[in-house]
Amino acid sequence: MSLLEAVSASKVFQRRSAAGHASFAAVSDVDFSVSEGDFATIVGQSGSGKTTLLTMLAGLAAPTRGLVRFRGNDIYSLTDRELSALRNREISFIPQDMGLLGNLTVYDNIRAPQLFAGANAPESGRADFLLEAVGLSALAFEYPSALSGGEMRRVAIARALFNEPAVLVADEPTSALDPENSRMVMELLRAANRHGAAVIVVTHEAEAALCGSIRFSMKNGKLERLEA
Amino acid sequence: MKDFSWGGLIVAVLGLLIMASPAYFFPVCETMISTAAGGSAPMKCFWTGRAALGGGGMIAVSGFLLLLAKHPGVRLGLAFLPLCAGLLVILTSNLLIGVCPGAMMPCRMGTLPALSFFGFLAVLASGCIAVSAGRRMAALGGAIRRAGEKSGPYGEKGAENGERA
Amino acid sequence: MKKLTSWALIRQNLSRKPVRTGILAVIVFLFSFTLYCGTVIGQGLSQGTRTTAERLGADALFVPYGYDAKVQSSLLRGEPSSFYMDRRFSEEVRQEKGVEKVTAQLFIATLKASCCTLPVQLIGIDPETDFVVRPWMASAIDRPMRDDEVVVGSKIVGQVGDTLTLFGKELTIAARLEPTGMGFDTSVFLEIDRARRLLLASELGPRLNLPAGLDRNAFVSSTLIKAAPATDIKELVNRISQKYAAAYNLDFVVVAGMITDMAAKLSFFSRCIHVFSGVLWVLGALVMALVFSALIRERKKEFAVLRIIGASRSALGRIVMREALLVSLSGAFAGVAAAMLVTTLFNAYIGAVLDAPSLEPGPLYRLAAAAGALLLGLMTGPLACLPAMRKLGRIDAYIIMREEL
Repeated sequence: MSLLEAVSASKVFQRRSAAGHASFAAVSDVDFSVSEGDFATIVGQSGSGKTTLLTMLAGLAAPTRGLVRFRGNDIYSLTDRELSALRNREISFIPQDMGLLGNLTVYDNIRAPQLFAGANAPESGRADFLLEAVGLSALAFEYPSALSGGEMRRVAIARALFNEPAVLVADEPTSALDPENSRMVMELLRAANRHGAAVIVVTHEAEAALCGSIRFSMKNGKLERLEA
Repeated sequence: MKDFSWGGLIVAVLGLLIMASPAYFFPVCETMISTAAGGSAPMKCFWTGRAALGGGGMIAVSGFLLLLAKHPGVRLGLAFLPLCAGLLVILTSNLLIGVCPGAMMPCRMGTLPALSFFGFLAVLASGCIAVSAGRRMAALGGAIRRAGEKSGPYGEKGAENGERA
Repeated sequence: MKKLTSWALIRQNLSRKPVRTGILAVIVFLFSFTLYCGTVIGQGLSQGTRTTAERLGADALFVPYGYDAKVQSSLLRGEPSSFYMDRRFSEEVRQEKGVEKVTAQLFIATLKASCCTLPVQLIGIDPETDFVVRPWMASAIDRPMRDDEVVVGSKIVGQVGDTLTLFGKELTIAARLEPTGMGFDTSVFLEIDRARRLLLASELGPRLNLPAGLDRNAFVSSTLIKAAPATDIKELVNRISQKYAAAYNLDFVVVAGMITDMAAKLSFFSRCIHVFSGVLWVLGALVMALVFSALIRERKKEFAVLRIIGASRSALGRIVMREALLVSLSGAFAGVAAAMLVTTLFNAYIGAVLDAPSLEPGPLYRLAAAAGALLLGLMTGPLACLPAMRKLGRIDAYIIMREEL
């Protein structure tokens, strides 16, 4: 059974312009599914609707038409509280540019999911383990403003992994990084995948896209499965 | 509240207020009492005013020094100066020298509460500076220790910085 | 290490932005400070006036013509003054119907008492007829006051048995008065004939400017009257002044009227204070509402991250609300603490500056005022951030829109 799937999902935005309202489908009629252990990559140019699809999959934006199902349940029929809990425990989203909480140290950023996880959140010791894993133990008590782009991305990944989610959804995790940092970030995602998380990565870099066990390409809101 | 550097300004202003209170804002009694020998001598409150001039001056100067000092260790030490001077102002005006006994005399109605109030604020402000400087000291110590444990005196941070540059 | 709590996040959010937090806290501080000070000072003044009314004991005062204002300031604030009228009036008025008690007092403004730099009001009382001062005596003397004895008000220095030098004479303190909140607190009382002799023998004696026809051995300053129960005081006073005004050149003060005037002035004062703190509160809340609204726009990235890691809308609202509450709490707490310190320390000074009898309200009243100011201050932040809360709903849109459009 698929873990996370989109069933003919569309997202239509109303664009306000001088000529009046115009609707614009960022995502139209997309079918997508990942199963446990999958590493899915979606390539496409900017403006192709990749991020919109990701936010729908991550439980942050309800599709205008169609469904998004996690373990067979329509996630947008849940209450805000239930859906938020799902984001907290099962579907972690790694945003492209707005990663970290500026007022918290690196260490606290990584264990920030504890804030909304209630009593069964992992202990803070997991943050030490994750810091070690992303190689940032020395920066544990720095604030994000002191970090480089690659470091911030690694912290965001560590935070996404904190509650051991079933699905990891990453939006352009390698954008604006030098090759070495890109490699490091992709390696972290692959490691998470090896440890059992399904990973969905959106990228416009062909090299990064090759990591995927299943690969998609997106163009003008349409998703197309690429052959292996 | 990184290092509470503007705290020095508050302390300096309070010091100046303490200095000015007995002379301008809440003047002490002006009258002299006649002594048995036929001369005249100022009353108690006059001497309390003098003590406040000294104590307030000390607080003002240490406030200005706190504005200049950057290192938390220096600030920690320096903050004790206005703290003790503030206590001294409170003690001299209430206990050690005191003011005139009459409830309606200007020194008791005005100078004493003013000195107690500003003195208290000076103690409070310098206490806050001391605490914040103490925390910075502890954080600094921790950072140095952590860096030492990791990789040499600069830690991995140094390497990352190099990479970014 | 303990788990991260939302309070820890809130503390970090506030302490990492000291200027923002400081400005918001100062607004609440000013409001709480003004509210507490205004309430307590207003209450102190009205309490001071009320005790004057309730416990003066006299219903009306008769003084020489033109001195009605003078006697009021003398009674209420202890401002030394001296004016004189014939003593015989107090004997004659005693016969009037509706008059229950009559006593005469002699006011002497001393230039200086030993130690005290401020002039003291010296009041000669008639121990046999006095019904005004006696109720205030902390320790009653059950024998006639001796010639060299005085009774002192609560703000005069010296214990029972101590001596006081007045007009070059050493006098022994025989009793002290309870605090009255009025002019009696700074007065020294002695036997009326003794007071007159002291005055005449002093350096002031030869220069004493007594009205023509006044007996140098039988003058007083004011005559105080207590009406019999169920007497119309206005009618009584009118009757007396019509009958004696010509003979004695009289003026009168009805105590109840004097207090009413005072109370009207005070209630205006306290209304002003409350209007002022009300305006301050509305303005403060408005400024805070604007700031919060701008803050949410500025912090949408931060809220988006919280949303992504699993904050429900209500959890997000709770965090914003608690931040506002914590800021208000620190501002209100500091404001009330500072106001309590200032009003307690400067109580006497405030009374002197406002030129009115002032008693510090009791601890219970002050506690209630503190609780009220704290509570109202505390509410400011959360109330002010209510309008901004709606903006939190748009955070989700922000997450998707930022790239696509």
